[in-house]
Amino acid sequence: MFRALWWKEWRQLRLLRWSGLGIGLLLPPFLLAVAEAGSRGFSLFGGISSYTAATVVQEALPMVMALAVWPLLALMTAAQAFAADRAGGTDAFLLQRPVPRSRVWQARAGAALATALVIIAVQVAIWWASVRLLGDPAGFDESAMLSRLLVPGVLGALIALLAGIAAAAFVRSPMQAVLLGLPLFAVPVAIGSMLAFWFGGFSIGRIPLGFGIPLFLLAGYVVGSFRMECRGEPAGRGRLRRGLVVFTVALVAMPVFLAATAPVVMRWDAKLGLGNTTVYPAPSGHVAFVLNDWQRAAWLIDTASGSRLRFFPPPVSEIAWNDEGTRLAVIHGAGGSGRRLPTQRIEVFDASGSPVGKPIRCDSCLNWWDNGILWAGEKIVVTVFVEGRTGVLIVDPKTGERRAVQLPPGPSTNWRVNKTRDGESVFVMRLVKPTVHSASEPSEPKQAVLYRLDVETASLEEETTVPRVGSMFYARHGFSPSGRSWLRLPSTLTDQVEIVDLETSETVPLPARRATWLAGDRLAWVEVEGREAKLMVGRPGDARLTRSFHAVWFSLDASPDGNNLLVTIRVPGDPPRILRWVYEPEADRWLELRAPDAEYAWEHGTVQWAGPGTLAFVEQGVLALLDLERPETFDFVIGRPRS
Amino acid sequence: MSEAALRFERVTRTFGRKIAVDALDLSVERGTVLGMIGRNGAGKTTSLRLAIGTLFPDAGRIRVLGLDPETDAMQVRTRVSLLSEESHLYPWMTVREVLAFGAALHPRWDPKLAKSLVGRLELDLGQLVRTLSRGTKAKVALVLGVATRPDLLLLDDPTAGLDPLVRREVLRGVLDGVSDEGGAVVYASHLIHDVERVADRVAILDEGRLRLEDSLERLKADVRRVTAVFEGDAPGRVDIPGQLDAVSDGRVLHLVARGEVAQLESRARSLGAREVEIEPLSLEEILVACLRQRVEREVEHV
Repeated sequence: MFRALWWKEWRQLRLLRWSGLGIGLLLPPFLLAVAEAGSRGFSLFGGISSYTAATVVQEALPMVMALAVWPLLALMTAAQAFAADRAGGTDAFLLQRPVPRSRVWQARAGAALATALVIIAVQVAIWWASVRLLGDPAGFDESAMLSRLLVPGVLGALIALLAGIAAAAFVRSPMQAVLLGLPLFAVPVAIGSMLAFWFGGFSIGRIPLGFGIPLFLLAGYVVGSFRMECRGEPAGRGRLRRGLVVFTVALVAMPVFLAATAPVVMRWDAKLGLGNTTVYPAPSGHVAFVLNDWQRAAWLIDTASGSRLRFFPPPVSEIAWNDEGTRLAVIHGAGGSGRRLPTQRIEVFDASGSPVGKPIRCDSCLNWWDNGILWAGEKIVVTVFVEGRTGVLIVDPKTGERRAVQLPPGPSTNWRVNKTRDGESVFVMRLVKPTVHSASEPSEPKQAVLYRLDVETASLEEETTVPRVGSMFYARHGFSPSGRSWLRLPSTLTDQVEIVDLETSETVPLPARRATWLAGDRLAWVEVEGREAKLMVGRPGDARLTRSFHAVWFSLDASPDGNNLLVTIRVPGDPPRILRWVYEPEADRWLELRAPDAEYAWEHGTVQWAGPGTLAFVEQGVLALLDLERPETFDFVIGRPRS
Repeated sequence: MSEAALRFERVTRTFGRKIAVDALDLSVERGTVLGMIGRNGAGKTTSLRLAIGTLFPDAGRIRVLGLDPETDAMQVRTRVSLLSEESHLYPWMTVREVLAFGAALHPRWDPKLAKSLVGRLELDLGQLVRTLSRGTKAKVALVLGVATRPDLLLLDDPTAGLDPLVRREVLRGVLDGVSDEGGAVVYASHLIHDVERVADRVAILDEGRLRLEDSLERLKADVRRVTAVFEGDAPGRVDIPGQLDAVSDGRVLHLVARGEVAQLESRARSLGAREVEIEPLSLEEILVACLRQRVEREVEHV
């Protein structure tokens, strides 16, 4: 029986298969004619200066086929398969015979799908032949183009097919089904696109799951059509109600599923990307902001208890703690549900993660790698990008009032904000002669003019010039704790560290490539002699050697209060090993850290300061805290290390 | 006692506000041909579609060969065929293809019977359905309906619009194929003479209701026209037992009623008639008598 049904449906669609072949054959000359007409100025869509037949057949032709012809023909195929009998008055032939309606439905769906695939295959063959005849096959990667277009093309055709099946259940003729099918095709595509955009964080490994949400609607199309055609009275009474019930359920299921899964998926995805993370400890030392740099999602964690206080769905652009560690300002591009906002806003939270005041809209807050936003007392200073220029705003988070800082005239578009560790001085930095994009390039030598900012009057006073500002990537570590000196970290492989006295502009070079400020404007740096690396602590000219290592790689990271130093080295060997210590310069005490899971985790994870006495260990899917009072115990906040 | 081929028990079916079938009680025994007659919209087609299960009733109970067409749809459609005025044939198929398609879908298809019907009806198997005349399409539909050897054949005016020769041919095919083998036939038609020729029993439907149902012979024998002449004006309204229709025209009262001749004469004389004439009626006259009152009501309303 099914064979007979299949034969009938397959035969009934033969006109469409021939049409697919005909359209496939006519498309290349048609597009060439359009291109020629365009080159002569006869075009509705604007003229084109020149074209080649190769460009037309190699690029325009597959695009038109995949994105327009295949979905349209698939829609027409489904409409014809499911509505033709009703329109022709022949539906009673099957309804009055001992044929299960479900079998008829299956035969129609199968024949429609097969026809759509045959049309696609034939048109791909025509395209392939066109490239051979008219294109430049030698310099063209057909398989790459095909794989790029096959997925969206077949996907679009499939969605159109399902839309046609659903539409045909509602109307009486194939033409009506095509007309209704067009919006039914557009709706899931539009919903998928919008959700993928709005819920960019609702993704796994950068694959936006928003595109998948309309699967509910597409399933609704299938189930709705099936229930309309195969259930209830064969003559059709109640079919509309049955279909609408299914479609309503599918429509409702989409936001429900999204609401139920998005928070979980966002957290899971953010957890997976934890390997690439920056920890921002609060000055109070009680809480830390853990920002996943890849997904731009974040958590606020209590470093004492290890509990997660709040999750910040992506994208988090930048954050700043106030000097006391009681307020957190976040430049955020998503709402609480994870829905991407049309513009960024500054959200303020207390140390427990509770919002303080209303979010402040900030259309063009800039992310300058830790230099875009900071607290100046009760106010927030933020860099913005308006009308092609960088600007600086002073925002009162209590009232939302904003004041623009009058910047000196000049060609520069690169302004950043920075402040000393004691919070006393706020500077606006102007990078001289860079371009917008190249300013952040570590390799470009540049100068920074420092202006002291009077937050009350929003005025600037030129302070000094840092002749070579170095890598801006580490700019937040540039000021010494007192603000008197600037640590210039090298931006090239051959470059070395320099200390710039901001009062005298005197520059002192250090024979090192790594350095970091410690409390009391002291420095820790590494001097390399042959295969020996010496860790030095003190001031240039007044430093002492603390320890020598045979290491191929070195990393220094001062604790937030500058009293401890996290030292990481990579020891050569097979395999090379990573060792970590916390060094306390005042007491000249070394504390060796043990990895949470033997050697494996040290190899894959990173360790950062989460507070003056707390370290955070992060690797992919894992966040753990290590209290220096109990260095043998890791408190896992998120995930566990893989064995 | 074997189950009736078709039984309607107070079956009602509406389309929106329109009541198509109204508390219909009907029974068709096996081996009989029921002629179902009535005006357009009387409920004939709806009744047949209810019987084969393409429509479901709003109320009442339907049994087809002892089965419920709503829940036993496949069994009912295996044993029942419906031939309608619209043949529902696929225009792009040839006669051979449409017969092969019909055969593939039906477990009771009898290829020998189909072949013999094709030969008897002189069908050209290679012809496309879209090129066939209406009469030939009806013949193809007849083969499709009868070659499945249905236990119940429902005919919804399948010969309407056909010339008398074809009609006769088709009807002969129906009767030979079904009723002679103990199957039942319900034949709904406007063509009263055709019904009269083939039906054992007749049901007259009007406004979805059953007005009259009996065997054709008894109906024709029992229903008579009574013409009563009075001294003065005939009574405007009369109501005698078995009365189907009554029209007064001056001193003359025309009655259509069921009953014996003597019985009817005595009832007419009891009304005061001086002269009474009683004559038999054709099926068409009986139908007209049954429907006249409603028609006059509708005319008055207009």
